[in-house]
Amino acid sequence: MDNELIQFKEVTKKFGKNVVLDSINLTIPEGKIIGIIGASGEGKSTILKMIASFYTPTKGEIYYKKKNLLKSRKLICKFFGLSIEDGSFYEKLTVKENLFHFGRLYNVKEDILKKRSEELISLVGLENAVNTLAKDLSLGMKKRLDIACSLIHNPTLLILDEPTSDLDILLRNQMIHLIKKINSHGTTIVLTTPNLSEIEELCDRIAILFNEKIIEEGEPSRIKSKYHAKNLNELFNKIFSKRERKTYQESTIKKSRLKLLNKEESLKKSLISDKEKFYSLFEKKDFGEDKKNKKEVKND
Amino acid sequence: MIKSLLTIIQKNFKTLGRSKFSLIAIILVPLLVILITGFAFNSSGLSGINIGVYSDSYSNLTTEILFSLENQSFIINKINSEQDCLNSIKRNENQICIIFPGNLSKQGNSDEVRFYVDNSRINLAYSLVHEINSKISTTSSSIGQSLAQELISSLNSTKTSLSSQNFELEKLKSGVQLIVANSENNLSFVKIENASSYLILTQNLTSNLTNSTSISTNINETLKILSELNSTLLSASNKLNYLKNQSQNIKILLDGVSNKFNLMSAEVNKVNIVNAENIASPIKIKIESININSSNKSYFTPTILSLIALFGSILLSSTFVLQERKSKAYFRNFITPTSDLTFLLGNYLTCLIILIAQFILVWIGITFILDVSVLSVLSSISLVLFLSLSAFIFVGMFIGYLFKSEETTIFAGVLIATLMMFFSNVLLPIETISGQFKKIALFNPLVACDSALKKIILFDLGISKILTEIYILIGFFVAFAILSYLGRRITKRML
Repeated sequence: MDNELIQFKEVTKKFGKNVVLDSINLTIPEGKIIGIIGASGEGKSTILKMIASFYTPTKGEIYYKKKNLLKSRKLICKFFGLSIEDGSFYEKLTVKENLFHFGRLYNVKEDILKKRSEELISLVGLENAVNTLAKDLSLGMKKRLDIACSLIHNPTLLILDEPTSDLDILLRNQMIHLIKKINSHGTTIVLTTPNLSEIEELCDRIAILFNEKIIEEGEPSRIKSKYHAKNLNELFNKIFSKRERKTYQESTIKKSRLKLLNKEESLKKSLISDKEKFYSLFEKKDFGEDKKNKKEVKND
Repeated sequence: MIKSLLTIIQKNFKTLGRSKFSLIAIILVPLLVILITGFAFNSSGLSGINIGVYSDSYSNLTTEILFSLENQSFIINKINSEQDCLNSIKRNENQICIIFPGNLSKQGNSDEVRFYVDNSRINLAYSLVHEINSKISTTSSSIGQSLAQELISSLNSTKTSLSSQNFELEKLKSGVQLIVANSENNLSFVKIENASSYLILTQNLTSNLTNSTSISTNINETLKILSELNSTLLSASNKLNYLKNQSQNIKILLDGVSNKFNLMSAEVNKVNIVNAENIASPIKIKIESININSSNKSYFTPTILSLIALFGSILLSSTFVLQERKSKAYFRNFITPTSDLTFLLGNYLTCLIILIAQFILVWIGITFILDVSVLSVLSSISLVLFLSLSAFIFVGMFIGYLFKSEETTIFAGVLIATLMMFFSNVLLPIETISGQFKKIALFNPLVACDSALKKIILFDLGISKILTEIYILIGFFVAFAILSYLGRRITKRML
């Protein structure tokens, strides 16, 4: 493939004795949206974090435009933007302050940073919350802020780890629209999501992860036709036969449980925060900034 | 309700048990502290104390006292001059300076033994004076005892001599009485009073010779009388000889008594005690401070500054790092091209700026509330405080990277700071710490900071005199900066 951006070559990742990825090969072409499919705890996030050079492989090599990622991490990491499931920004900084902070950490020049932050705020639709503290944003707004922080240095590759998790259907659609919009600007996107219909809607290519290995990689249509499946859900069912799925579920149930608990907790927190905000809107005489927030929450 | 209560308690124990580090910190660390302090403070007295000593000439008694102090594990350093001796306390080379008078002797001294102490180390000064004073007092009371013993011996000897002389005198008295009695007896024996009758008889003889009538009879009577007179005179002569002998004996006895009295006088003269004070306190002691112009406020200023630096830095930096770690943005920081060192430096400088601001307020407080002027030595103080704050900030940052939960971090921070305080001069003198712990405690950054600030604020010493402290602080600064860096790298793996 001529326009390959990222290439995994026989990459193995172990955490202690636990093998998470076993000699995987993966190619991410430039300008496309690539989805990584797999059950919880299968190693999807590990792949993403290895691309972002947060984790180093135990074995094997990763290349960015044919350059070894590990050997020139500092030079290459500025081409990546990563947005994780729980978000990664300062809750006590405003939207604008967060963008400026991370932009400066990526050594973006001040004039460019100002322009870029304005563009991003507009892109992710946070115009009404520029000076709102991140902790006061709604869940959907936080997700969008996190993506904006990932894009502040204008990366060539945006890595999204479950960008639509915990979002309701309206927010999910907004997020899908945003991802398409970002990709339309030429940014390559790698994402994971448990929702296969989203993958089908968004991705130009998919990679299916099972038992520490990538068992299928390519265009969804090609893989679907290979397995005579109408959609990815059917494909998924065919690939993971009932028996395999049972074994698989048993082996991964422990891993999933913890993750689900964490999700539940963060969702609860978010709900409480939203609830408090909702009540506070009625308590305050001066609506000012809160009116904006309310509007945003409604929009979301 | 009880069931709910038990469920909550059960849950609390389970969650606590599952955060092993917190459990170790909460349960085992206090035990460890008790163990360490127990070992460190297992001695009852002071040890390894350096005593600076100066005297114009070291008398036998001075040498004896110094020897007894050396036997009590004190390290004696003989100094060439009194001023050097005082300066050695300021430089913390000696903890006390003793100036012995040149003529210190067992026969009592008009000059005092002077103790110079650093009153800013009040907890050490008085226990040290007490300790050394008790050693010197032992020697002093021993001297007093021997002087009293000398006096008593002399009195006893005089008493014995007097009683024996009393006997001799009794003998003399009876001898004299005997002579008197003998004299009386002999005189009556000699019958001198009869001499008149002899004289009459002689006169009669003479008249009889004139009358020539009874010459023969009278001559015979006269011869008889003369013969009696002769024998009486003979007897008298014998008695007089006896008396002469008796008198000579008395003279010999009197000579003996006189000799004895001379001996007694010599014995008494041997006692050279001029006044009673020499027996009560043969060695006089005077305690003086080397901090002549300083007040209690000045004494405690360095310690106050050190403690503010210690607790402020450790608690601020540890909670700061933990907040950063707990922040959602912590992850993103790792994937930016900004290096870990830059982040570390950024956090360090933030803490340093906050603490400098705090110290500006402290400085205002010291100057205007405590009325202690530190303006003249501000540059030296600033250097020491900069190094101390840096060392403590990195200690706190390391704690922040080491622990996961907020409560454990604060607990560990307070604990470490308290341990540092324990093993310093703040609560107990460092000299009360025993064995290897004392050697370790000497490298405590709090001790270095406190010592350096004391030298600057109280004794006006320059940077060249606090190089050891500066090196210790730099060592801590660098060591904990490296540890914090490694801690940051390790926490990355935990994400």
